[in-house]
Amino acid sequence: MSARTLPWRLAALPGTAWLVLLYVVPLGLLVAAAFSQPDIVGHPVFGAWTRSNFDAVFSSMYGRVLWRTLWVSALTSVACLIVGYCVAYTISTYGGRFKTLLVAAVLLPWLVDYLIRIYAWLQLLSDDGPFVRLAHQLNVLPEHTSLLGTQTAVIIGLVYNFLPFAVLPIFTALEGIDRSQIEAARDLFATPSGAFRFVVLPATLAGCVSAFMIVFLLTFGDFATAQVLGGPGQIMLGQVIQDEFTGVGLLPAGAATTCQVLVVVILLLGGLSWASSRLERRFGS
Amino acid sequence: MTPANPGARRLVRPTTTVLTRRGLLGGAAGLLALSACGNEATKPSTKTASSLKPDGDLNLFTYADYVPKKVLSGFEETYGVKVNQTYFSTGEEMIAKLVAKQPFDIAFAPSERIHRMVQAGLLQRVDHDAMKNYDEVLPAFHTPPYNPGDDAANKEIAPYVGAPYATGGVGLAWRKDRVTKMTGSFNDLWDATEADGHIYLWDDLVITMQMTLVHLGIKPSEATQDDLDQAAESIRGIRAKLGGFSGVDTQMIQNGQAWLTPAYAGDMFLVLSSVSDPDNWGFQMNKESALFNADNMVVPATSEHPGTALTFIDYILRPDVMKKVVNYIGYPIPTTTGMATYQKLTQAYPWLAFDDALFEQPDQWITPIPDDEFAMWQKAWAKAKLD
Repeated sequence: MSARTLPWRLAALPGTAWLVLLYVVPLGLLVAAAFSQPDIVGHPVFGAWTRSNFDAVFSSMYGRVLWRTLWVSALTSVACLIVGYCVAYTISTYGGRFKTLLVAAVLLPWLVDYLIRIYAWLQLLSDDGPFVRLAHQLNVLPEHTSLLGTQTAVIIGLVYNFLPFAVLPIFTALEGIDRSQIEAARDLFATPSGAFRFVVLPATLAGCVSAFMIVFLLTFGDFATAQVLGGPGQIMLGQVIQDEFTGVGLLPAGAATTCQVLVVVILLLGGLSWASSRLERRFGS
Repeated sequence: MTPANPGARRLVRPTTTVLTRRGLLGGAAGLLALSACGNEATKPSTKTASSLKPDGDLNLFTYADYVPKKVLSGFEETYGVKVNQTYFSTGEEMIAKLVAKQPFDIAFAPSERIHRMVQAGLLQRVDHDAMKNYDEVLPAFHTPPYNPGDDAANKEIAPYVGAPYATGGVGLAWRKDRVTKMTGSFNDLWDATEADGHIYLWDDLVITMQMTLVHLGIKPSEATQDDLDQAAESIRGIRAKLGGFSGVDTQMIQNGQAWLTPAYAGDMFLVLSSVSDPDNWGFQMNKESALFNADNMVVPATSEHPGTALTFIDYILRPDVMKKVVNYIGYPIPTTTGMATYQKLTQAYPWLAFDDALFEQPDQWITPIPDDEFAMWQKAWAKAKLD
């Protein structure tokens, strides 16, 4: 280690220590808990190792929940991507000097507690709520049919909650576009839709992947929305973990399921990061 | 082997640390050693809170809004101490913090978990003889009936239970404009056809599984693997009729979504006091079991101010204070004044009242799940919930 680089290496120590203490050590404890037997109050007994906590994780019941969670996360992410793109594009193109204000407006609901927002949707989507009444009046929803307790309700809640996480990266990508490229496309007789298709969209694909990735990961770990707005057929993996940690009180089982989520998330994150970097290389300016 | 480009070797920094298998295993061993530091053999605590003299501020570990503010400020004024409240939302969260040795002076412990908490050494004994108002506690709770059919466990927990607090019975609540055929039995949840899609079961292993077992005529304390599987199947059998698994609260009642659902009698009282159409709601305790469970004031083993803790329990038991507490929370508390106040409070809703003698019947109480059967119950519950 040269004297020239020593100060820089020392400067990295606090950050490294922070990461090790608050990320690596808890992660190690989580894995250790997943292989531990529970004590009398359901907490892990480190040293009494077992693999049995993973039995349930690999059962078909958990497999179905995992599949549902992936499916709901994908639908939510796609919905957030579409809505988020429209919102971000509108703000970026037509926002003018109000851009910052409009972006802040997108984030405004986040000033209200997450659970309160979900409970607000509980009221809105209940049988006596305005959405269902309107849907019945318009014959969109058959009489005596509820919205609450359905996958649609869960996805509405998730999209509402995580939309800002889609808007921000797409907005940033849109703002990074060199406007002269769009003008050049138009000068070369591209229609507005052609300019969008061949210039704007490719240039924002990496932002779209980021948006998809963030929303997907947040949805994948969410438990409150499906708990409050979903029915017995909408249970997601986050709920199972929450149940194991706080409801049933079997921490090692919860830790094992969390490890499963971790593996899936790492695989997805890896795949999406790879896709993002490929798109960046292909279309990045 | 000579590299194709010898100069390229210089591009590899000589100080780069390569993650070796030995290093990885060493790191893992370190983590495991660290994790093992948290383990200690557990046994019931021998500490006793025996002094009725305040010895510092009170660190109260409670559900939010569970003790009236007036009562807390009265305690502060009377004894010249400050009450610091910390909230928990589930029993599991409370236990997790006590396991982590948080120094709370008073906690509220659910009846079905106290035996485990005692055995895990989380609570300290309370000298009931030192209290001035302990005679207020109903005799049936001097040795609390929280472990039906297990007198030894009841005797073991008795010295650790400071005093009972809110005590609830689980019944069924229904919307009268939607459901008309109720029979006073948990069978109604399974038989009612009028509430399809609007029946909500609680997302609570202990209560929902025991409710199902008593519906099937099986004693929860004697449930075998087959019985639990049968209960899981029974719940699965009505999944199509369920609106969902709701929290143990009245949210679904208040927004009109639940037409038929389990409910605590005390919660129903609060709901009926707040909804615009109280006459539209019915409530029944069921002939199979009241499924009683109680929260209890306990002194954690880690308490730093056991004198203040004991003083607080004694203060809550004082008749004038107890009256304020019951009027505020709307739940019965099994003390002489607590029950009298509750009976008066529920005069308008006579079906919320019940005979104190029920407390003494073991079958009316939620059964704690034995430690060695917990995983079995958990698996059955997962089968019931997950499709």
